[in-house]
Amino acid sequence: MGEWRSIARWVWALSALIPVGMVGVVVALLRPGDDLAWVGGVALAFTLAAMLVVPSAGRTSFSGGYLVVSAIPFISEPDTGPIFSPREMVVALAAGLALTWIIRAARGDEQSSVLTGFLKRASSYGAFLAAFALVSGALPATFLPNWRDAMLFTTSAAAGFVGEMVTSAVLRYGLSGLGPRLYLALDTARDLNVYVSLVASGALFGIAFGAIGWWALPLAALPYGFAHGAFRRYVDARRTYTQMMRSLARIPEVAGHTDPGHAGRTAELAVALAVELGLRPRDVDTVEYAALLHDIGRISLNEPSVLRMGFTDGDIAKWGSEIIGETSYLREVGDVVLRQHEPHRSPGVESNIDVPVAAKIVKVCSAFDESTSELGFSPLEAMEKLHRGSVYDYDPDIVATLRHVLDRRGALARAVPSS
Amino acid sequence: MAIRRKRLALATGLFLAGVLTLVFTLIRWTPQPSTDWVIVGLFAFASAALSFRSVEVNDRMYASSSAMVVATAATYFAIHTEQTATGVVSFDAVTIVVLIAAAGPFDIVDFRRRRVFQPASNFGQLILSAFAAGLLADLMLDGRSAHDPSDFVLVAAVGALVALVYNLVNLSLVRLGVRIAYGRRNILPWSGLWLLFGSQLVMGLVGGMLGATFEFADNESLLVLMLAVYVIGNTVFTSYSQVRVAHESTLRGFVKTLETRDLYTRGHTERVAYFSQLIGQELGFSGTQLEHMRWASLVHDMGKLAIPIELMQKQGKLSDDEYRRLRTATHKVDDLLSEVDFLRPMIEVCSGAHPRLSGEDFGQIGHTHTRNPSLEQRVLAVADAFDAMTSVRGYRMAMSQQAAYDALRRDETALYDAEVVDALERSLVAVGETYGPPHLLVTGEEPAGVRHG
Repeated sequence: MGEWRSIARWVWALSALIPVGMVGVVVALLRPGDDLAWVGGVALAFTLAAMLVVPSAGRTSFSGGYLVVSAIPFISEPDTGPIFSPREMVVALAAGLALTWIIRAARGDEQSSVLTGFLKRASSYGAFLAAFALVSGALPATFLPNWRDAMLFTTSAAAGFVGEMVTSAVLRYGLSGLGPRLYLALDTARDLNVYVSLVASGALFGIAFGAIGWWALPLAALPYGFAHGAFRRYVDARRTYTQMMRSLARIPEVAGHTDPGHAGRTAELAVALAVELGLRPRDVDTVEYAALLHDIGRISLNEPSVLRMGFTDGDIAKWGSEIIGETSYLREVGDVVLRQHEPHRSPGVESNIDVPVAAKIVKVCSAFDESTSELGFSPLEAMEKLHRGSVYDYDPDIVATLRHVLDRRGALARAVPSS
Repeated sequence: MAIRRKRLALATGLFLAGVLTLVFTLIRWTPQPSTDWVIVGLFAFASAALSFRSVEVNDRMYASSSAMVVATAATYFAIHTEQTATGVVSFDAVTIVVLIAAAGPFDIVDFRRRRVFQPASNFGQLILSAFAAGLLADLMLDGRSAHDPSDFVLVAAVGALVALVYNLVNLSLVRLGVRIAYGRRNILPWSGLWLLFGSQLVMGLVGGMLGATFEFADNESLLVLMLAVYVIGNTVFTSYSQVRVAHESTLRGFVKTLETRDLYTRGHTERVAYFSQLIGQELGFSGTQLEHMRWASLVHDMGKLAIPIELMQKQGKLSDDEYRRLRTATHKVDDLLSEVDFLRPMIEVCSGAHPRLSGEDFGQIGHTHTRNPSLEQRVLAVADAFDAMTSVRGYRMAMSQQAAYDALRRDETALYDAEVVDALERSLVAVGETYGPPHLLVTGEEPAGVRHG
């Protein structure tokens, strides 16, 4: 661990040379005849746009720099053709990347986020521009001339997206661990709409510039502004929705039916397990909501008739799923809550395969949290209990995954008495 | 079914008007052989795809973006010219726009559900609106095709006008239809209309610019790119609306659970929401304010979910200590919910509007949290107290509607505002509904068991 830290320190120290290198690229490639106003303008526009972080529903965030990068190759004058040669594009981008780095460093952003941001963006922009150069060279000029720009756009945008995706997967997880990487890839794909609206708006400006000059700016900015506002509202709505779930999930604990914080802790653990198991992003959300609300049926315990008649775990799960089932948006969550108290296998039956994975995860995490916080077990004792219960109650695969997750966090090591 | 017959007549009338307009434009049209049908098809597809993917601009206010496509098509074809062997050929915007609009109303969902009324009247509405819009574009732009910047501004402005006319005609037809079929006037919160027309003006402006650019640049890629950005924005907006609906129905689910526990308060929350909507409309609340009221009514009794078991089961009067515990439990839920950014203003409304707790009499009003309750708080307080008085509770009979008004007006705390009570009375007269038991219609009669604190 210590060794890794010192390597990381070296990497950070050396990475400070990147902006210097970018400036070097600019100096080396700049020729006396270049139109400095255009190159400098693009570098500035890029720096400004890169400060714009575009919200997205998943866990990726895209830089506004795409707006500029996707516009550059398309900008042309009606008589003289493309304004930028590939060399000038590289100069403008390198200047912009160096400026962005300097501003972010001066602003006090964390160095690791500056570095990973740089690597992701540089690889993605590079892929975009390289694909553009390749395809525009290979595509005959007479082939569907009115659709040429659309074809160029599609291939370059795809290349840029793959560039960003692969780099961020490798940066986050290295070259091992297929499940989490698959999760990340799918999660990024969910944000494809943000990416497409960024690059399409940039390209729209670039293409329209040749015909209408600077009027292209409002033409591209207005639809993009609409899409951007929609993204922001969507992300905000999702965030407050999760906040509301967390609040509602705590009602049983306020009423004294469950241990304080149980729902929140179970949800946190369950999400980590779901990601580790490589569940799709949508299903991870289902696991999170189900874990938060798995005890919500307990608010029915206030009913005098219920207390008179008595109840079972199955009843609580049923009441909970009834409450959640009122919302059609949460139907899957309701199903998971209904099933989460069931054992994964019953005596005499070979294997009870139709309990959803999400329900098994919630069961294991809830039991673990109950043991450690309510019953006062150490994490190792709680794991022992789960292992013992994994013949019928807890799915052994899920228990093993929980062990992995806790091991990585050091939660199990800490519990060992230091002798 | 009178409404059904009226709707049938309306749909038939609109449909016939649409067909007549279509036939009329087609008769006086001389089709140009050089018309690019791929472009027309692209426009028609975009218009059809967008006309039913309307987005919620504001509470209950939906705006479809097909006006933008109409503005693009109208301006493009109005200024489009082509050099052929026989000379310069210009195009008729009105015919092409009407043709594009004709493809709009045929949504797969309607076919699958075998709906006839809606597509038929939409067909008429869209064709009439498109006819007016196309005509305007032709009149204002015919003969202009020079590539100079002043024309660009003009074309964009005409695009905005086209979108405005398109929407005005469409909205007037919708209003007319609602008035004929249902006899109601108030279909939209009019206070937010400027938002609707503002957004449509901007869309028309973008449409006009795109039409001009498309003519100048002659590049289909422009259309595809712009549609891509636009459709994405639209889709995200739709998912945003879904999340909002999910929000509300999740809370509704909890409220339902809450109410099944207590026979006497069943439906209470829904009625309070309904009364506060009525009062809000009468007082001229904006769409956002009305939405706030709906949420506040939904959450105003959630505190009950946390009342400890032993207090729920207790027979007879609560001691002071138990009363305090009851209060703490309900306040804890309010605190929990106000952790949600979005709900915080609503919780503030509720906590100021709650003079009493369930199980207490309205007679003990006066224990307010707030000295100067806001208008929203007063509306919620009146709606809540009115429903509590006019419905049966475990310990007393329901009061008549008139007695409830009188009791509320007699109260001197700042919470029950005479103006708000008047608004409630007026709006209940307007919708023709009466609450409270029908046999108690004597003015001012005191129901059994009411104490005055």
